[in-house]
Amino acid sequence: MKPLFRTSRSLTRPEESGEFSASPRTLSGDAWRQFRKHKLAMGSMGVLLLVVLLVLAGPLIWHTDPEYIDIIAAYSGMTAEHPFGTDNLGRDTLARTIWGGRVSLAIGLTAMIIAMSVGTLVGCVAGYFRRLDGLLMRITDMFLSLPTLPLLLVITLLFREPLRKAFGPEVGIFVLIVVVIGMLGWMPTARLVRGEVLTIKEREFVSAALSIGSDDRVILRSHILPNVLSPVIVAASFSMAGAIITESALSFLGLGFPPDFPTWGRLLFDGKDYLTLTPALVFWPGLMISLTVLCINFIGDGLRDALDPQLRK
Amino acid sequence: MLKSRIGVAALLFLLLTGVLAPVSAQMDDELTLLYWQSASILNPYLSGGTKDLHAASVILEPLARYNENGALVPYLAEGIPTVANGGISEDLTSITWTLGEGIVWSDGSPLTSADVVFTWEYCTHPEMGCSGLSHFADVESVEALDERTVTVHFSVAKPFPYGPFVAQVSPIIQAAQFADCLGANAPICTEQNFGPIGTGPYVVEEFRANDVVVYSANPNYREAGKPYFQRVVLKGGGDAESAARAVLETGEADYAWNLQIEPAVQGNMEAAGFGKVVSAFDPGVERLILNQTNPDPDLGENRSVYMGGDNAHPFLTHDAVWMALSKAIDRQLIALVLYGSGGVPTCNILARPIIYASTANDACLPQDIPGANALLDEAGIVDSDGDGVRELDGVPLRILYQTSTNAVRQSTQALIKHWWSRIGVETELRNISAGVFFGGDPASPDTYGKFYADIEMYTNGFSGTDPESYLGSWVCSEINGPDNNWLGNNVPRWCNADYEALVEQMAQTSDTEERIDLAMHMNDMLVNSGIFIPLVDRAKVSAHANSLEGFLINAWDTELWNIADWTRAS
Amino acid sequence: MGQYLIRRLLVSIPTLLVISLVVFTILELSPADPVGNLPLTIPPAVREQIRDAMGVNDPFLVKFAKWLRQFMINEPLNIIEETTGLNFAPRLSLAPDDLIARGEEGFDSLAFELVEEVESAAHSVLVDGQARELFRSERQFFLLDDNSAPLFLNETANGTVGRELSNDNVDVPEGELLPLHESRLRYLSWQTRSPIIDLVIERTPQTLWVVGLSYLAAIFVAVPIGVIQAYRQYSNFDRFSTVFATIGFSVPTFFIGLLFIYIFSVQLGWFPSIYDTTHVVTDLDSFLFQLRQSIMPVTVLALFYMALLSRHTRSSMLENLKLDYVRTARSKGIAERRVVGHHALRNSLIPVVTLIALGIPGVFQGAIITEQIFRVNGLGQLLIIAIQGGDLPTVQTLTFIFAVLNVFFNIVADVLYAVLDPRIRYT
Repeated sequence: MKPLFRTSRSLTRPEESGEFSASPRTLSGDAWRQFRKHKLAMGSMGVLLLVVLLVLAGPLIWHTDPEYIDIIAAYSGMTAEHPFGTDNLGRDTLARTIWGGRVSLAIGLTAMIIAMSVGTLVGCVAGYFRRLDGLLMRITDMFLSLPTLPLLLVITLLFREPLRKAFGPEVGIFVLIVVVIGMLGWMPTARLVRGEVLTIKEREFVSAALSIGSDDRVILRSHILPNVLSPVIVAASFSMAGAIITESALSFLGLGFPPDFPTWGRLLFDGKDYLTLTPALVFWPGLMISLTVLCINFIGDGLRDALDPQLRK
Repeated sequence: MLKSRIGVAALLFLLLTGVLAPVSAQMDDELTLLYWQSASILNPYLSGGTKDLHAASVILEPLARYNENGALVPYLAEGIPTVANGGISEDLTSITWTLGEGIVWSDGSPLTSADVVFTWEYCTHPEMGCSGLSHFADVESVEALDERTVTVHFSVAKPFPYGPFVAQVSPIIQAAQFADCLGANAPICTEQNFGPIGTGPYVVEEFRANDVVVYSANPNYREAGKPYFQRVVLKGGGDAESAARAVLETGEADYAWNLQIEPAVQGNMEAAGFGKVVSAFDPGVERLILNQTNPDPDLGENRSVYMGGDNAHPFLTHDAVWMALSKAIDRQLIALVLYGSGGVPTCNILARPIIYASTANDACLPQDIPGANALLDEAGIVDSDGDGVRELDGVPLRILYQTSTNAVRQSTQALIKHWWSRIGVETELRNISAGVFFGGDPASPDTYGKFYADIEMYTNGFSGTDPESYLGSWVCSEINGPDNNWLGNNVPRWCNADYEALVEQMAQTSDTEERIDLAMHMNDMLVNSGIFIPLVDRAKVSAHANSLEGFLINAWDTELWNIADWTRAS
Repeated sequence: MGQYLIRRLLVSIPTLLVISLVVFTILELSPADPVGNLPLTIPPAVREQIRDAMGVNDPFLVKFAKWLRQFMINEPLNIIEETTGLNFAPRLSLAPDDLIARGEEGFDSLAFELVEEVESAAHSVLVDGQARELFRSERQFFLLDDNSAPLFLNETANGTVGRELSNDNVDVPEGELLPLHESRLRYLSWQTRSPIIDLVIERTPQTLWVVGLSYLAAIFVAVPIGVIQAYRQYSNFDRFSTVFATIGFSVPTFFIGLLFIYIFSVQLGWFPSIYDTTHVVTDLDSFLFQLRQSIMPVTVLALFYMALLSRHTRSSMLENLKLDYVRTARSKGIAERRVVGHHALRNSLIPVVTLIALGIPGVFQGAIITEQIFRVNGLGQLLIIAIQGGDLPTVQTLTFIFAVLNVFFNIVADVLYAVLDPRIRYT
C-alpha cells in the first residue's frame, strides 16, 4: 500500500490527468487508468458526451426552428416530421429539446461547479480552522434561512437591467441565473464537508503531517480535500439536477429566459398539463434530465474509485 | 423470525385491503367546491379578492344581486327601486331601499336598516382601507327612515345608483357583531372576520384561512326547505388543472371555480363523463396595451412618463404601425386554440353586456398579414438595413412585450411574436409573476402601471353591468406617472380632449339608450386611437358535476349566487 | 461540552437577530404587492388606501420595530400568560389628580396618552396608589372602582379620546368586560388579517404528519439500502438502486405527483387526490382513510428524501468499509454483521446525520410543491401563498421560525458528531 500522503497529493492536481501518455507512470495517469477500468463510468462518459454532442451539433442535422409555430400540427404524436411530437402550438419537441439542452446543460454544470467549489471551500476552512468555524457556519445558517423566492425577486429588481446592459439580454440573464442558483446551493455541501473535515482532522495522517511541520494549506489541499471528495461528488449530481429544475422555476418570476426560450426544465413544466394528451412532450425532456444526471452520478462513482488510494493497486 | 414475518405480512395485507377500498362516493347532502385559490378571510370588505368574495357570499347577502342575465334581483330588499316606482328620486341623487319583511340573521335577531347604515359607516371609515370603497363613491349619507327603509343620498346625480349594497362586492354585515371593529380595529377582529353572521343560506362551521371553509345550513334561512345541501366544503389550493380533474375525471368534487384550461385538455377530461365545463361572458377583455410614451431605458427618470406631447413613443404612435400590428394577429385562432369556451375573438374594449358591444370594428377579426405588410410599405416603414426588421425614421421596430406569468398568456405571446415576425417586427417576450406585475410597488420596474415596456397584455373589465367608471379610466388626470406613484387608471398614457368631453357627457346622461350609444362611441374611439388592441372577450369558466342540479353560472355576481337552489340529482 | 453548548446557544441569539434583519430587508425590497392579486376592478386609489391601512407604506424601521415588538415580545408573553396564568403587563401610573379632575381640555391629551399606552399592553392603572385593572368593552375602556362601578373612558368618533367620570348611569354587564391584556396587539398577516402564530399552529399537524412521515420512512428505508449498496458495490442491487434514486431526484416532484394522481386517482380510483385537512381520526375506519389520503403525498416526498439519503449513506459507507479499522475488526474475528452494522456504519453516519439534521427544518417548512399538488395546505403552502400574495409579516414570521430550527438543528448535528466520533472535541 502506498503512503497516504503521497497518493493524496496526486489528487490535488486533476489538471494533470489530461496527460495520460505512455511515459513513466504519473500519479494522475494512475487515476485515469483506474477510471478507464470502471465500465459504468466509462459508459456514462460516452453517453454524456453523446448528449453534449447532440445539443451542440443537433441543430446542424435537425434544422427545424424550435420557435417555429405550426398550429395545424399541434399535439402531434411521434411522426417522421416530428419524431418527438409537438406541443400545443405545434412547435417541434425534438428541436426544442436540442436547443433546450444547451441552456440546461450549461446552467446545470456551471451552477453545480459554483455551488460545489464554494461549498467545499467554506466547509474545509470552517472545519479546519476553529477560529473561522463560528463565523462561517453562522453565515451558512443565514444563507440557509433566506427566503428564496423573495430574494430572487429582489435580485431581479436590482441586477436584471444592469446585467442586461453589460452583457446583452441572453448572456446577462445566463450569468444572473448561474450565479443565483450557485450561490443558493452551496450550503448543504459546506455543512457536509465541514462535518467530514472535523473527523478527518483527527485522523493519524493529519497529526503526522502536522508533526512534521506541514503548512496548513498543504495539509488542507493534500490530505483533507481528497478525503472529503466523496460526499461532494454525490452532492454534485443532486446539485446538477436541482439547478436544471430550478432554472425553470426562475422563469416564472420573470427572472429566467424569455418565455418562448426552451430549456429542459421548462419543457417538462409546460408539458405536464398535456400528460394524457401527448406524453412525448414530457417524456423526452424528462429522459434527458434523468440521463444526464445518471451519467454524472456514475462518472462520480468512477472518479471516486479512481482517486481512491486503497483501490488503486 | 418466520412467525413475525408472517404476522407483518398479514397486517400489511389487512391495511392494504382497507386502504385500497374504493374512494367513497360523494355524500348525498354534502357539497364540495374546489377553488384553486383558497379563501383568506370571510369579510369581503377586508379582502376584495374574488375567491374571498365568493366564500363570503354564501353567508353575507346584499340588498340585490345580478342574476345570470345581468338583471338585478332583490335579495334582502323587497324590490328593486327605480325612478318609475319612486325608489329613485327624480334628480337621481338618492335611492330608497325597503328591506324584506321578517328577515333574520343566522343568530335569530332581525335585520334592520341600522345594519345597512352601519355597513356604510364600516366601509367608509377613514382608517379602514375598505376594498369595497369605490362602490360607495359619491355617497353623502345613508339614512335609516324606519326599521325597514333606508335611503342612500349621493352628492351628485347618479344615473346608475346601484353601487352601494348591491352584488357580492357590497353585502350587509351585522351591526351588533362588527360594532367593535370600526376603522383601525377592523383587522384585529379576527373572530368576526373569520365567522361573520349573515342572512345567507349557510353559516360558517369551521374556517381554516387559506385552506378550507366548512359551512352548515343556516337554520334561520328565510326560505323554508332551503338550502338542499346541509354541509358545504369549500376547499382551496392546488391549481386549476387539478381542480378540473377532480370534478371531471375523478368526481371528487361538485364544482371547480375559474378554470383556464386549453380546450384540447378540457375535452379530454370531459370525456370521463363525471361533469361538464360551463362558461359565461363578463366584461373582461384580454387586450394589448400600447405605450404612448417612450419606455427607452436611456431616458432614465423620464422613461414611460407622459410629458404633454413630448416623449411620445418612437413608433407605436404611428397609425400604420399599430394598425399593422393589429392586422397581423389572428384573434380567432387565439380564441379557438387557447381559450375554447373561455373566450371569443373581439375588436372591442367594451364587449359586454352585449347591448354595449359595438359592431363598427369587426373588420379586425380576419387576420391579414399581406395587408399589414402593405400598410407598412406604403407608410415608408421598410427594412432599410436588411436585418429583417423594419425601421421608422431609423428606429427599428423592436418591441418588448410583457405580461403576467400564465400558461395561456405565454402561448398567446409566442403566437403574436410569430405573426409579428412576419411583418418585419421583432419582439422580445417577458413574463412577470402576477403578484409583482399587478402590484403597485413604485420601486419595481415590472408593474403594469409603470409600463417599462412597449406593449403589455392583460385582462381588464368592470364589476356589475354599468361601464361608466370603466370608460372613465382613460382621462388625462388618470395617467400613470411618478406624480401619482404610477397608480393611475390610464395605463397607455393617452390624453384626448374629445374623449374627456364624452366622459363628462356620460356622467350627465341617464337615458339608457343614450348611454349605450355614448358608450359604444367611446369604445370605438378607444380602439381606433391605437392605444388598445383588443384580443379576446373572456368568459368565466367553471366545471360542475353532472349530478349537481340548479347551478346557473353567473358572470355578473358570485357564481354561488343561487347556491340555496342547488340540489343533487338522485 | 456543556460550556460549548451554552456558548453556541448564546451566539444563536445575535445570529437570529441578524438573520431576521437581513430577511426583513429582502422582503422590504421585494416588489411583491399584497394587493397585487386583487381584481383590476378595484381602482388604484382604493388599493393605496388598503396598503395604508395594512401598514405596507410605513417606513422600514417602523415595520421592523412592529415585528420585533408584536412577534418577539407580545406573542411569547401571550403564550406564557395563557399557559401559566402569570401577568406581565407593565403598569401605567397616573397621578391621582389627573383621573379625578374634570373638564375637556386637560383630559384629551392625557387620555390619549393613556390609550396609546393601552395599546402597548398596559392593563392596569394606578389610582390613588391603588392598582385598578383596565377593562375593555367594544371601543370603551373602563376602570372599575371598589364598588365595581365603572370609571368610563370613551373613544369618540373622531379618534380622540374623551373621558368622564360617570359613576351613575353607565351600566355595563360584567360578562362583556374583557381584561385589557387580552387585546395586546398580535402580529397579523396582511392576507388573512389574523394572528400568524395561530395560522402556524393550525397548519403544523398536517405538515408534520405528511412530511414527517415521509422523512421517517425515507430514513428507515434509505439507510439500509445505502449500506447494502455499499457492501455489495456494483452488484445488480446497487445498480438498480442507483438508477432508481437518480430518477427519484432528477424527475421533479410536480411531475411525479401528477403522474401518481393520474394513475392512482384517475385510472385506478384508489386514493383521493384532495387531502382533507379537517379529517379527524377517531376509529379504525377514519384512520384507514387518513392513511389512504396520505399515501400519495408521503410516497412522492419519501422518494426524494430516500434518493438523497441512500446516495450519501452508500458513499460514506464505501469510504469506511475499506479503512484499516474495518480490516482490523474483521481480522479479530468479529462477526461480519457487527463489523458492517456497528463499526463501519457508526463512522459513516456523519454526513448522513448532517443531512438529516439539515432536513428537519425542511420537514417543518413542508414540501411546497407536494403540499400544493395534493392540497395538503400545510406550512409550505402557507409560505408560498404568502410569498405570492406579498404578505410580508407571514413570510417574515415563517422564515424566522425556519431560521430558528436551522440554527438549532445545526447545533444538534454538532453534538451528534461528538457522540459519533469521540475524537471530535469542541473547546
